Amino acid sequence: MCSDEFYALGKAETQCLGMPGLPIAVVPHPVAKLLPDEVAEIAHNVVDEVIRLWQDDPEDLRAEFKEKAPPTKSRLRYRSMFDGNFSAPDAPERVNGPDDLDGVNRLFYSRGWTDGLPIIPPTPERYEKMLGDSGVEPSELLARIEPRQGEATVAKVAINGVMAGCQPDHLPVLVAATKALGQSALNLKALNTTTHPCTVLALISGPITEAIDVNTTYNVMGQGSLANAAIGRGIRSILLNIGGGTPGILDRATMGTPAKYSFCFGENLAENPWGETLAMERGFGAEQSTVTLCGVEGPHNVNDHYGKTAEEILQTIGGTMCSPGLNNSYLGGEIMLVLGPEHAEIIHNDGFSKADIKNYLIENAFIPAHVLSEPQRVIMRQYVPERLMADGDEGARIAMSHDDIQLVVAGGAGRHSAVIPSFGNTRAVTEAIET
Amino acid sequence: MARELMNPCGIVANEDAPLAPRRQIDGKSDAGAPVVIGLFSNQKANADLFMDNMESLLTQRFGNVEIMRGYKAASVPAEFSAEFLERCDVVVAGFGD
Repeated sequence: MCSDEFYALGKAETQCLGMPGLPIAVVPHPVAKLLPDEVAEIAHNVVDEVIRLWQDDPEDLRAEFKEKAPPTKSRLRYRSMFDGNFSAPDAPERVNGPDDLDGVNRLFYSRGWTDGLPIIPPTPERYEKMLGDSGVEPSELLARIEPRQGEATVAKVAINGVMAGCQPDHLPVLVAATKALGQSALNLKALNTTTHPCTVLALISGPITEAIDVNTTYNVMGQGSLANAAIGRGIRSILLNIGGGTPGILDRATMGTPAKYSFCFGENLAENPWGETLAMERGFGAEQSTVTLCGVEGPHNVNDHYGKTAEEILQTIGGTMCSPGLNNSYLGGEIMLVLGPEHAEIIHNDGFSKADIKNYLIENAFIPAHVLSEPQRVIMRQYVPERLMADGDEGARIAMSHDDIQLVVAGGAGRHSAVIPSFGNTRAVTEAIET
Repeated sequence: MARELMNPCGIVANEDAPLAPRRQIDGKSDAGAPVVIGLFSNQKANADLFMDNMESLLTQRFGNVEIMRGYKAASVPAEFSAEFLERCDVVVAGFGD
């Protein structure tokens, strides 16, 4: 049972789960804004269909719903995933395409295989070069990528890496990231289908950041670094072509975010005054290269040029974290704090450990009462009642435990840091990178 | 001229499982064992209220049904209780927004 805007998602799910003929009853979208008597009306209008789907001949229903195309009110920008069959078990490993760059891009774009920007044609030669002489087994299955549960083999990861502009020395990071995508704690199915504007951030740590020139300093979340841009883009390509995250079909993001093109950067251990990266805090050694994936929004800057103490800067940071519009406000979950090196130095020199930072934010960072609407308080009472102070009349905490706050140091000179809110119902996952 | 390009799409299994058999019941006159209908809400806005209405409509229409309610939190995978899985003859599950 769903609204018509989500029928395509439901149909795709039935295919992914091996039951393409599963009946789906549909009501008009949207349901969320309806008044009670309007909800009663749509229930009344659909109950006969529900009874039909319950009692009709199962083989007739199965045939009907296998063929039924998703209804849509607007023209979809991208070709439906239900057209063509490049994901079938007997799909060819190679497809025929034009010999020129423009032609390949028109073809791949029309099939919904790109992010809208030009891709590097994945010729057999480029694919073989990507695999190199690493000895990796192309048929090795790394993970099944939600929501389509497409098989992410080393080969498919390499192909998408080529398209994204990755170099061969980026492949180990993509392989590790793909394994991480399969970890259940990440909740990738939700991340790749939600209306929330989240993406998968790839945070790289350890010696590989220097070895493959991952940017950890100036403009760390921006453009300019081949490794940052291509690896992040490669992950997006995997989410699209293996996971099925096509915008407007399975990827239901209402607004989206530029971070969905690519979001990848490195931890700046050299300028981390505590000498411990997030990866090290999560149990990996300093000499172990890792990639940590987080389901997050784009970054929110924290500009504090005038705070001179840890508490003054953390007050600004805490205030930036506390927005009622974040998923974290009513779902809880992790928020990443990326301290610029200058803020990190001030906070550290004021005697604050990482635990002290977290304790300060837990105690002092709360969403003020005057921005908490009653409907927001209702949903917070349901999901996170412990966060409401005086039932919301004194505000709501944004973090309750150390696990809710991830501390990273990255960026260049300047009195800026960044807050990266998460989807809420997701936990960061880390994989070791094998080179 | 054409050339070969590698297919970037991940293979997806294409099972086609049959649907469960249906048991026909007639309005208020059916005297057999009750049909157990599961109504599963994803607790998005108005989902619970919609299922409340569905429960009322189905029990008004059929005299021999038993309704079981199930719920999941938003944006997490559904988990069904053993009783829900064992007892329900049919399930109406809400998804999406």
